[in-house]
Amino acid sequence: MMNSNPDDEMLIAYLFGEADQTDRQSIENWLGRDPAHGERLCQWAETIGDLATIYRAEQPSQPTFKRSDAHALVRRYRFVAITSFSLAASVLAIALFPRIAIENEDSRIALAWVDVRASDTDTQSPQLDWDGSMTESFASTTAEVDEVMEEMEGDKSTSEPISDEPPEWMLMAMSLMIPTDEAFDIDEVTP
Amino acid sequence: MSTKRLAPPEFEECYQRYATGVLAFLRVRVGCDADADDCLGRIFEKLWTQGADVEPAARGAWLFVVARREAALHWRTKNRADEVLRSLAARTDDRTIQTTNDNGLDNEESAVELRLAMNHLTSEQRDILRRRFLDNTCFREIAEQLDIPLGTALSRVHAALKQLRKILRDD
Repeated sequence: MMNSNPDDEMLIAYLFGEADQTDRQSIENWLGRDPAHGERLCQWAETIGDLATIYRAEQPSQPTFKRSDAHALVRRYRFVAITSFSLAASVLAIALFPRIAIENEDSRIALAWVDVRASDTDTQSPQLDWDGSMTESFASTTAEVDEVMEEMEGDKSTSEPISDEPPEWMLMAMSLMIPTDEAFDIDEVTP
Repeated sequence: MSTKRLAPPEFEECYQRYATGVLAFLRVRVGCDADADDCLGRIFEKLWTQGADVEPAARGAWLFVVARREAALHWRTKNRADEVLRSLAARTDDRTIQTTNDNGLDNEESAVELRLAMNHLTSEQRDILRRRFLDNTCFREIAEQLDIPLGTALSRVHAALKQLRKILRDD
């Protein structure tokens, strides 16, 4: 549409960015001829701008969550997060550690008892290395058992005598600790 | 109001579409090609830094409103050729020179007035404006959707804008 003096519809289309190439050139030439032409265009531009402001206010804003928002959130709640984590870890530790200690102690007593029983009946001499010295592992195990036995002896003097027969819970624990293929009959162990 | 930069493709599209027209507009307003070029640079710098806050449908309109203000400011700051300044000031609405808001209505009162004025529009006119501004649908597509010629769609928009201007001027 070639027009040296564009109509209002054409100007409106131009301001909305919808004028074709020919109309656009026509309007550009027309604008350069007289300041009044530009003023006429600006009056439409103002009304369009005002309407855009009104419609913009009606548009619902869509919440967006960006990486920077996440970082800000982490920074904001870092102290709370660290404190909460520390508290949770402490509670967990208090709840778990006594049990672990008890379990370790029970296992140690049970093993010591087995070794003691074995040393009573076993005729096997301490294992010797090729140079005649006692095997280190054997020696350390023996020393450890002796230490436990001493403790048990000490307990015996202060408390009631230890029964020759192991308690039921200890035998159960032992059967759980020994692999299936090496399982033994409880009756064999029990004197 | 927070300002966001315009995306480079959108900026380039605006520049290609309007730079020549805005420059022609500025040259006759400012009267000097070099000053017009300076003004054009400032206007598109504003578009680059604030353009994302302007509705896509209204960016062309925004550019010309800003260009008019830049031209007026150019004369005011240079403070020369009083005669030309007076003639330009007579042509330029006082509101444009004094306004500080580039993005449309100057105050809440004007916004309320315009909202009330929109009640005087027909439902067909409001429908086209809503589709253009809120859905960002171009007039050609709107005409297809409504099964009307493009000229009719543009005529309805023209009539709506003309009526709004008339109501606001009468107030």
